[in-house]
Amino acid sequence: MPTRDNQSYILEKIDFEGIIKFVNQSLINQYKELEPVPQISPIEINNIRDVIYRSLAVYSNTESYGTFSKKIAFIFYSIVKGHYLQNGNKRTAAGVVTMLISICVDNIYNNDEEFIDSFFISAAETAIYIAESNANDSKEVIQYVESWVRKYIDAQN
Amino acid sequence: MKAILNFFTNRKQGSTVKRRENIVKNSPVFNSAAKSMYDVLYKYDADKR
Repeated sequence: MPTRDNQSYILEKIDFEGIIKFVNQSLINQYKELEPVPQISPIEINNIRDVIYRSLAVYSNTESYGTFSKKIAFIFYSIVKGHYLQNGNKRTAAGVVTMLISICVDNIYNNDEEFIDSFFISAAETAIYIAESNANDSKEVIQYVESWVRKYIDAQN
Repeated sequence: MKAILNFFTNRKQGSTVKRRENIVKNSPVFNSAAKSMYDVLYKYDADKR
């Protein structure tokens, strides 16, 4: 097995279906008065879960995405651009990604309120940046997302 | 809250238990901050329509 960073090691243990359902339920609750978000279907859950599994793929003893930040960048980009859901793709992507980072990166909540707000608002801005990007620029966009993730990992070290 | 407790498939390892406790402790912070994040994205889509 390849050597993994600590965050990737934790990522592998997470129940992704639970996270996807939790984010979907949060969106249903928050937007029921405005613009209802549909209940996520088992096929949609599988599609998003497959994206997360693909980020963990290992070929010839080498990880396709060798670091936690690369994995998260791939997940974030793929969910936003994949349009797996009828509504709320960006919100679901941002919700899933911030949950995964919150779980895998130590002590992210030990920071002050300003730092935590900046983490979540910049996640929304990153989702918009991905959505607006041209598919031909995917490499550069994923690199940008990776640097966004690293910023919040490095802040803990 | 119950959903958060079930996020980990392997619940027996010490570090995982500690991590779960931290998540539960911080879940109100997460939920509140995530609401603002969702609103930014909702407003972005609403403005585009």
